[in-house]
Amino acid sequence: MFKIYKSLYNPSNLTGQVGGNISSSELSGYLGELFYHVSAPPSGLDDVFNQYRKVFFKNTYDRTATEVRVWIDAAEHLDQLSIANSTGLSDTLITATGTSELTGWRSPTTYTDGVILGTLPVNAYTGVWIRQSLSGISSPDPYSTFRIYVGGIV
Amino acid sequence: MSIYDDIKTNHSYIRYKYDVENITTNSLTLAYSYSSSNEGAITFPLIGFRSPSTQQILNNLPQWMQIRQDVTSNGWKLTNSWGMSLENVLNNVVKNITNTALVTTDITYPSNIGYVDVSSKDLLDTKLYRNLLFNSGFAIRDVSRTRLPAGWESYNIYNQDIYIDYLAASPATAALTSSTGQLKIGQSIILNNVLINNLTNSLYVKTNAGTVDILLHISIEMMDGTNRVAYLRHTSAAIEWVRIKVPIAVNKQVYRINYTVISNCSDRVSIAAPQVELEGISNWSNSSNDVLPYVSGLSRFTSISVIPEDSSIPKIPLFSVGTQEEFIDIGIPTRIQKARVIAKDLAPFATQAYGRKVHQLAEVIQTEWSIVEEQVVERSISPTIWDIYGRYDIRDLRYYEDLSYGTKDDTKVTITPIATAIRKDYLFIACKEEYLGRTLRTIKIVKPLSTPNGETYLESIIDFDLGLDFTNIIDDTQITDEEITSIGFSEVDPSWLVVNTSANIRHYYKMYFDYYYFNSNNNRVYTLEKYTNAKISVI
Repeated sequence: MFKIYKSLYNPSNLTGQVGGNISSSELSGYLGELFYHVSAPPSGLDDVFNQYRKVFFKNTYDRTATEVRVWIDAAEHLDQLSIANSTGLSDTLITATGTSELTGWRSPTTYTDGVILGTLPVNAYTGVWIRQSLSGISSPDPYSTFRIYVGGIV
Repeated sequence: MSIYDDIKTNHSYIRYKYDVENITTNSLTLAYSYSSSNEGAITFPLIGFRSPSTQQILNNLPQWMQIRQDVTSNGWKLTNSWGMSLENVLNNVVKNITNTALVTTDITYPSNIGYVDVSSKDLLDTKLYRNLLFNSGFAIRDVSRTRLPAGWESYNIYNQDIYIDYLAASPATAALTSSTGQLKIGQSIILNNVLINNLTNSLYVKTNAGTVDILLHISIEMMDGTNRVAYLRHTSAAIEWVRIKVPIAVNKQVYRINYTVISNCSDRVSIAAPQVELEGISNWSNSSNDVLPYVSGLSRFTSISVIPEDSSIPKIPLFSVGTQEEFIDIGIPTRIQKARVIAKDLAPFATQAYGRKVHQLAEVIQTEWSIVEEQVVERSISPTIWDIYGRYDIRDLRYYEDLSYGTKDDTKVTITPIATAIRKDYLFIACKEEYLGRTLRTIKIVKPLSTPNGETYLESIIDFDLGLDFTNIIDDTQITDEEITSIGFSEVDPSWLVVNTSANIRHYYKMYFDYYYFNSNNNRVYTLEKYTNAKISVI
């Protein structure tokens, strides 16, 4: 199956670098595991609060996977989420809220439109950045969910 | 002869085949949270008050003792625990004494009440509260400025065209309508630790828009921290109500359920009767928590509402009160409606003085609750005039995220108190309220009591939009800076509220008390109001 791992640097706050290579910990999805709880900018302001995290997708099938893609599904607030390919296996950001030089941020919701990871041989993995953008927040949300999907031909 | 006559042809069959390569997928549900920087942390409702009786008790101690001098001392607070009870006894004694004389008697009590008999066995059977969602009938209002039902969070408050629709013949008490077809609301319920096998989520929708896109989104947080999410996208238009369903097999201990409805329709959309229930789907029911937060008791029925014979008149929901005493004595209205014609002479109008303060030197001072420098103050009226003992802002008691009930410091709204009047132990405060570019004039109802720990705000239990807009110039006689100057209640019929403005205009409002009490001894539903040309629907 395709397994989803945390990156080496996944701090439980907004300080310290984020990203890097794959860690040995699988992502389980619990509240606050990936994105740190923040107080978002008030509505009416143009400020956008970005928070970046990196996750890895690993092919643990016993066959090579081709046409592997990643997309977002069942997002409660789809406008707050986007994903992009990492520039390298070990790329990092200085802080979770630092400026990312990555381009191609998108919010695909289908396989067809998904971010292309290409071919993943057996036990190969690659990283994807997830960006949370909070803007015009008028009321808190103590529990918001989305599903990250990975699919390919195995 | 054709030019193609010389072309010779031959052919061969070529066979081919193809297969389908399925996409293999895996997924993981991730959860995150955030708060809003224009809202402070929630403060739970204030409990108790600084009782004047406490000071009177402690004035029996030597004058040098801190317990007598300092209201923040532990001794003063301890004594206050029974001082509050003594104050309540004193108030009841005073009420009973004043009610013995005709001129001073409390005329806010109803002189007659209405009733309907409930004979249906189905209704009288033991009620099952199947719905886990709070206020799924949308009958309990949030603060006036949001126009939303209590307990339901709008994730886009700038979308101001959502309102509780009492005119829609909905499957529940009321519907929630967006005239533009855009809405995004939700509710989060914390169950703590409940084993759930199957969960069924449902919602009634009605829209005949050209483009229909309604998403019912459910996410479940398990006790082990993992999440499950399911959704259904509804895309077909219909002129009648359609029920959409999202069943989920859970089979785990559940901590929290999040229920969200997102509509991106191109025209008017209404939703009603949202439901989250265990196991299979059933008729709409309410939750055991569906009672007004300031009254006691359970709601005995799913919904009771008054349905006028004229379909252009809105439906009126009735609210359950648990005990007879509370039912008869209730002083908080459920509706305040502007009245154009006065049926009888209502003058004179009064605001009444209220309260007392006890000094550590044993002086007893009569006080009133008034407005000074845009704050509510408790000040003396006798023997000295206008010594101020407390200054207060106003905060609204509301349901916030995860259905937490309390107050918050909210920078999105500015509440400026303008005038006060006392009725039946409650302080009615006319306020100017500025919220997201709109200015409202509201009546907020608070308990006029010294806050227990020196808090600098009073809690508004409920509020009503007066529908006064002074920004539009009506004619040349209207002054540009018109504002409310005073409010009062009729001494002839205290269910009438009068609002005076600086343009020397008097607005009359009728207060309604749409409560019911169910007496299980005779299966009779009693109402405080009499509803003519209408039927009372009990489900």
